[in-house]
Amino acid sequence: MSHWLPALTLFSSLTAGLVTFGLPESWRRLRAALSLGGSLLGVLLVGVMLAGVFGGNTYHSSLTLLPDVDVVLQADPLSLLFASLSSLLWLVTTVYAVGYFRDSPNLSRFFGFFSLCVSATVGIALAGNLLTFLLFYEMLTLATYPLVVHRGTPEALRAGARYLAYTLPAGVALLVAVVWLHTLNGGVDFAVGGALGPELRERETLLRVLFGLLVVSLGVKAALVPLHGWLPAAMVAPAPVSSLLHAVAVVKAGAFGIVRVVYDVFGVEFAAALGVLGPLALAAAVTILYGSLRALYQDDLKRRLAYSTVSQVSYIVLGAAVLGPLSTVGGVVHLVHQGLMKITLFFCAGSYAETAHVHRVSELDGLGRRMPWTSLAFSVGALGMVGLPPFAGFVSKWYLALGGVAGGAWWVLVLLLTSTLLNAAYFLPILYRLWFRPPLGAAGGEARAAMLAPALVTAALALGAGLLAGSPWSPLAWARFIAELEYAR
Amino acid sequence: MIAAVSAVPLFLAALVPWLGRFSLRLLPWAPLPALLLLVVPTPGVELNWLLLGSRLGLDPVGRVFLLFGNLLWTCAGAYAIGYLRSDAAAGRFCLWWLLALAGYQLAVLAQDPISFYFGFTLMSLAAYGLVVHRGDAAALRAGRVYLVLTLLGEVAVLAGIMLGFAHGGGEGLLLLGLAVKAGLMPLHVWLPLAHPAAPAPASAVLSGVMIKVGLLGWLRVVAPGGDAWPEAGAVLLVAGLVSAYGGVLLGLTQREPKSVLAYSSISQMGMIAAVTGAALQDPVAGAALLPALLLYALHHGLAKGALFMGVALRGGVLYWSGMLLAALALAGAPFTSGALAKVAVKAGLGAGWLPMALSVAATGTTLLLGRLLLLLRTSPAVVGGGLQRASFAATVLASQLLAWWAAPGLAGKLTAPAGLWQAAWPVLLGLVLLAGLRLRQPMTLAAGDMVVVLERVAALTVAGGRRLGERLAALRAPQWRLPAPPARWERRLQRWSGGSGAVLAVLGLLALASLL
Repeated sequence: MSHWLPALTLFSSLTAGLVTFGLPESWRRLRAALSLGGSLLGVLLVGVMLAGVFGGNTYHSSLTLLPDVDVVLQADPLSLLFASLSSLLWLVTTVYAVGYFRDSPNLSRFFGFFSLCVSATVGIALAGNLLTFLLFYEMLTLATYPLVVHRGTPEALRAGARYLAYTLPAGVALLVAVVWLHTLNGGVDFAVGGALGPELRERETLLRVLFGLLVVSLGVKAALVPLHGWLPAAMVAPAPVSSLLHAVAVVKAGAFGIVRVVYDVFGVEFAAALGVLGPLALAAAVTILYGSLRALYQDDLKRRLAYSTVSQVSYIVLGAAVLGPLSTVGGVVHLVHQGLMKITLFFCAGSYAETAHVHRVSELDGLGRRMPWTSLAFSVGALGMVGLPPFAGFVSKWYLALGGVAGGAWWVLVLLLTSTLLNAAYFLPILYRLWFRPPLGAAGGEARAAMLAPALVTAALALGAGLLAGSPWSPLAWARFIAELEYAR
Repeated sequence: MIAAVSAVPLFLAALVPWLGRFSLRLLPWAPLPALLLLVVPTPGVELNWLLLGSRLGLDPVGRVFLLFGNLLWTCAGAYAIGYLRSDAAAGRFCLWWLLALAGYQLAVLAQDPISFYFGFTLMSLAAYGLVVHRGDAAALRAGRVYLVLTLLGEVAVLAGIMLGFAHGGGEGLLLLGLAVKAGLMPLHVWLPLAHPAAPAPASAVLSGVMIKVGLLGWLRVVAPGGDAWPEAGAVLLVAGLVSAYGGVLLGLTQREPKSVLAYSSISQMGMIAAVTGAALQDPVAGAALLPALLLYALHHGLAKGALFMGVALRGGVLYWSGMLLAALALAGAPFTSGALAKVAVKAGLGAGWLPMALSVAATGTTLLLGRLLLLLRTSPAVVGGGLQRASFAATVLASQLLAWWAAPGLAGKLTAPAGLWQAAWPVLLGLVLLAGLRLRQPMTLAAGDMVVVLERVAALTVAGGRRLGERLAALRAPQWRLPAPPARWERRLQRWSGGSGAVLAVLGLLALASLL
């Protein structure tokens, strides 16, 4: 069974996606049941593996494609962290999407690609070597395009073209880097502490070039400035897509890739010795500040959230780029925390757009009275992003800043606190409008249950991940477990 | 049991959406668990699952803050029932009130920095809702200034805590961040805007207990009687004295009674800061000054709370004698709680120029509060019911009785002729000055003094940022496109029938090459 579990997890969503393509447009119930069933199965399988890995088991599926080229899926603590995030959020997003698109056309196409997108993400999470990672990473690029252009409007098509214009060249660069490294090293299996052989480790200049190539190509999806241009444009996608895009799928895949490269390909200590972490930290710092500054001046709610993602995802990169266990904990745990908080915010933004037809920050006045539960969820997400206790963002910030100071990088503390103030400057005015301004337009009701419940669930998780961070079941506990493995050697 | 002190107000806050304005009736009862905790000794708890591991407990410093704080929360809560009787948005007020209360309790009971920070933040941010409750332009402006300064203070506190955890150190940042809450000059600008803007019961707790959390934080960071820290002590001493005198001078330029009281709070907190600074400079005196500081906080908290409640009331002899008593107490007139607090402080300070400086400041306080009472005589009355009057009276009484009960050993010093004179002369001098000035106001300054300049600077910065952003957005990436190959190439290729043959030939060659 342990040979099959990772592959089964992947196939649960893949099969659901492929079957959905074949369903007639009118079979709404079966389509919903299939998507939900697939995602529930995914959550279940990841849960089983989580328990197993915690108990010391290993799960490993592999398939030899060509001599020397194996597709490997395996469950290690880091892969399970990302896999459980993506499978869990896929489940809630599916519920949200079913509520969001009640009677739109082309839903079989949508849900089909939606499931493919998630299986690609699960593949990225569980990939056991760099080639497998590349395979699913490219699959993700292609599976996401139809979701971005789903509406088919000229604006959506333009955004889609922009998305491809950024991600396809990046894919080519990644391909070159991966094949190069694969050839030099004779395969790159992810391993705690680094996967590079001793002879290769001596070719430092070449490795620096390869690291740069990997990070730049992964940085496109992770939206590192100046490679972030596609992300704010892609917010024309329907809300469930934006939610998944910003919280787990595309942006996170890039960030997760960088984390993998730093920890499990180069090894964080070796990367530090190479001197490549400094430039990476600088890129993360620039991105954090630039994203926040841009977010400050956006009136379009989703666009403001998109720039906020640009900024927040680089917290993860920052955690990877600063040497030391505390930074690792902060970066890795933010992978989960940012996902929970950002998906909540996008769910709510989608509910505001669908239920109240409000797309702009300046139109949010008094919506807290009309849609109190949605606004409550939004507030949890926003305060969490600012990093206030007891929400999840506080825990990430705490570990990242402590890691920075412990590693002698004082500027990390200054950077994070500046970012806190900037986050407050663009999130608190939204909360002010929601709760303290008199309502603008006609009265109306709360979002429908299928859209409200997912937002409340993720908001509760974002609260719980912070409030109960000290408990043994929190994402923090798991991130500590990962950091212990990385630095225990 | 300890956790309930903070959890009960939180739970009640969660009920507010369903209870609506009925929640007003809950306000006086929400501090009950805290008052019970004072009576029933309870061991501290460690909650490892909460945040990054929390420890709650009640130590001697926390006991004092829990006592006077919750008495004021209770009385002001009862006062709010009457004050907000006809307010349509009373439910919302209760929500912020209860959240701020929960934050206060947590900050007092916290035995580790992160829990303190959590409580401090919760209280500070929830108080924003109290400040802007009225919803008019002045309240919103006050809220904005309050929020900006509060967030800056938060960040400084957090930075200090983080440095402390990572390295040790960071106390300076903590003192600075907490100084915003304590209203120390020049970080005071939010206070004269926020305290008058809030409804009277909220002003009472803002000025009575919430700014005291600044002091609580200082005492947690640098325990007086521990290691000396002369530099920080000097800074606190100077900034404290500047606030003590500056608060009086600026307060005299105000026309609004609540603004006068707000500046008086700045002045009083300044004296507390100066004494804290003195305690930091000399550990021996520091150990003696700690109880004096606590007594001062208790006395000022309740008396100032009572005055803020009283500002919204008018009445007969009983009312005026209550106001007069609270005002005299703040000035430190003989037999009042203020005199007790000042005797305790001066005993701790010993010789030197500081006791004299504080006595002169007390003259200023007399002047300022005299001005307040005169302003009240002419300013329009606000209707107040029996419950409000009763809460006001209870607070005045509590401020006096509690101080005497807490410091029985000082009574002898106070009633000796020397002690009487020491307490009396600053007040008498103040009264003489008040009469001499013929109650003329020297000039009128806008409440919040420097904030006017700061707001202008902030507006210019924001406008500049927006312009810069627009200019950046105008810098579009060039819309390059791959040049299309000339159309005739394509036409020629389509006419070329040998195309497929050529492809096959190439593939064949490749196959051959791979075999070799």
